[in-house]
Amino acid sequence: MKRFIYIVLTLMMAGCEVIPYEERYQPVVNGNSERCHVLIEFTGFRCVNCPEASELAQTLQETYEGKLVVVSMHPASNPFTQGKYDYTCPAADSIYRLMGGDASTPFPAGNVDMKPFEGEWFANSSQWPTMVYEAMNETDQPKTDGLKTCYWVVEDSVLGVQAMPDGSVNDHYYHRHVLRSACDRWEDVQVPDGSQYEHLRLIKLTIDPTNNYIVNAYESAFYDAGLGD
Amino acid sequence: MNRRIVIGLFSFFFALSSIQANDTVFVSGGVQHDGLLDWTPVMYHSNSYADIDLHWQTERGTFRELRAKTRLEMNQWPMPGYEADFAGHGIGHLSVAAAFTWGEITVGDVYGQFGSGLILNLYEDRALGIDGALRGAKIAVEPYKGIRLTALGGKQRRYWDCYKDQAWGWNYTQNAAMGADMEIAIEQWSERMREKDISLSFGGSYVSKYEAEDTIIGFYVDHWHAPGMYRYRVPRWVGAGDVRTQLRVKGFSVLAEYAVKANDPSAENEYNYRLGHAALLSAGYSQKGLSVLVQAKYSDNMSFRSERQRVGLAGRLNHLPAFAYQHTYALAALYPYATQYGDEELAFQGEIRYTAPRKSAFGGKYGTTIQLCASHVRRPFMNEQAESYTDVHVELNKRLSKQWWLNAMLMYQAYNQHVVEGHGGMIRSGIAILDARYQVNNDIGMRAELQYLYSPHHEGQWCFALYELTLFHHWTLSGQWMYNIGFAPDATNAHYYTAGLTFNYGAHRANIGYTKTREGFNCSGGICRYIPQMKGVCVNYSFTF
Repeated sequence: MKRFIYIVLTLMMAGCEVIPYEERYQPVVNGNSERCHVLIEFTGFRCVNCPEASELAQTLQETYEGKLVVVSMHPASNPFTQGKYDYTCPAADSIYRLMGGDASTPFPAGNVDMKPFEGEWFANSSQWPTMVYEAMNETDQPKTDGLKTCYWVVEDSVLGVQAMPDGSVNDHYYHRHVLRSACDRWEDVQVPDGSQYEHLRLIKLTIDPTNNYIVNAYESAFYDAGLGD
Repeated sequence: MNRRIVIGLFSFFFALSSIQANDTVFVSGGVQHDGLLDWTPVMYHSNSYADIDLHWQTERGTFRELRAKTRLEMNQWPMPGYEADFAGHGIGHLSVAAAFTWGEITVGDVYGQFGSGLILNLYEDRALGIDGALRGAKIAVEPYKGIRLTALGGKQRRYWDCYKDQAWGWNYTQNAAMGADMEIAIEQWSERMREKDISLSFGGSYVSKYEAEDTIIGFYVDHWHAPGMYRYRVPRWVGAGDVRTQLRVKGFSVLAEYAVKANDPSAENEYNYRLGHAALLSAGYSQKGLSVLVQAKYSDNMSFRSERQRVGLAGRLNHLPAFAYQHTYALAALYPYATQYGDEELAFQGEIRYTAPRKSAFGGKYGTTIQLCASHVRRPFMNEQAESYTDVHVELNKRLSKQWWLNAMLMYQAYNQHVVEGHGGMIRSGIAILDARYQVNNDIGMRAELQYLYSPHHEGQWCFALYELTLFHHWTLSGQWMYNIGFAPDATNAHYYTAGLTFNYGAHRANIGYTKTREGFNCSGGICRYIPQMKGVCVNYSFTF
């Protein structure tokens, strides 16, 4: 019996590691990925924690300038997007449901390159920097054969309504990089109805058709791509 | 794999060959199947379980009993609302327990609770799809009279993937949890205390979890750190301790418990290093016909999970007691409160129950029971957003005659949708419920419910009606209807209805019906699972032996 008590006491003493304050945060380099990655931000105008997550996504994009594209998706299947105001598009909902999203998925949720992270398709915003960092530092060589192309049209600075963290409603909130449409062919790319042409951007994606993972992305303004009027 | 099967079969037949004539051997278990045939698109969702427990009771030296438990789970296409990784099938539970006069040893999947569960509560809840068992071992011994020691350890189950490539769950290099608990019952040492019906106990527990270090990156800025990307150094070992005492003097009892958790940055607490705290105080009094219960709880940053990167319902090591009533009436359960583990929470609960005796002025011919309950959950600061949940209800239960029973309830509820669901605002509602039962004769009985919810917020007003007809003890026909009357900003004016036939015979229970239910939350003990709107033919069957 004494031996049993000693073993338990020893394990208890060993079983706690306190990290001193000065050792908790270690600066990291930003990564050296040669490809451009896509951070998909699933959001909704009724989600009070989404504006903070959107700020985080913006900071990540600035940190990895030229190597990270952020796209906001408002999927109709989630109650955070349902109500008087509509920022949804069918493509956002298709992608959301393809990943297994439904009405119970908590928002804000994020995904990088349409790949699962830690076995989950949707990560909460505190995991986004880790997801992006790991994508920027991945060592696996991407597939180069048999890839398909896809085009996403996003609209920046959509003036609208958003529930805020303090419980208020902001009637003059700018929704950033909102997905408006998606298509597989260049000739099908169009200016979405009701969108501001000068705010539109086109993202050309290279996708692995075997698992729908995004391999690379290229973003440009609509007028630079030679589209529209 | 083959070697394990051979060893298992050899052990089983060796155990069988050891059975003697005066030993008792029996098998118990059960089968449970819940299914829904949905036709948009056509799909049959089901959760099925089969439990088989083998018991061998004997008296050989100090050895008393051997129990082998197994559970088969077939949830390949689960009911709506479950996470994608819940889907799967296989042996969900396997354990062997040996009981001796001095204690008990269990090997395999083990459950346990230390104190009120503030730092460790491993349990299975099928309705929620939670199985928090540790794959490892547990030992419980009583070395001296009145002292009970329990120690356990293992790798926690999280659906099906947790044991993949992990040596069937016996590989502890990635993560594991262990703990020990001691409970001292003072009254066992004092005959005078036992004579006076006084009991006093002290308890203490310690739980530690191990998880290999992984990459966690975040933006961080404070007085010492410039804004930028930082890698968080996370503790591989996280410890949590708990102390408690309980005093009971005749009908009066009081429990005080305090738990603290060391630095545990996780996805649920947004990677903060603060200590976690929880305190619980509970006092109760009961005598014939009267019981009073008053409780208070404070918790902050007490999310304690076996894997720091996980969120969701599964994978918790602890359980904070719910301070919100778990209602069974449909409209009373429309806005249930889910305990917030990561946030600071202050909760109070009180309950008075009085049963007026028969043939008294208030009790009438058959007696009357009246119950007043209140619970209030808030965040410990003062502003209009601080209130998380309030429930005040009074319930009257009375038998009117030989054939009539009546239960009536009035309730006020405040539900902060923003706190629980992350959107919306405060929903305040008033609810009235009338539940009547009439026994026509020995073979025929019926029950009816009428419910009404008034709220100017969210979806507004609701009404609900239910009728049940029981025939010849075995058959029950039932129908229910719920309607959103509206008069609120998000009113839907939707109808939801369910009709079914249930057959009970001995330990068998079978049910078939049509259902269309509203989206909502299925809650148990403050843990809630979101269930989307469902419609289709539902089939349920259960059997125990």
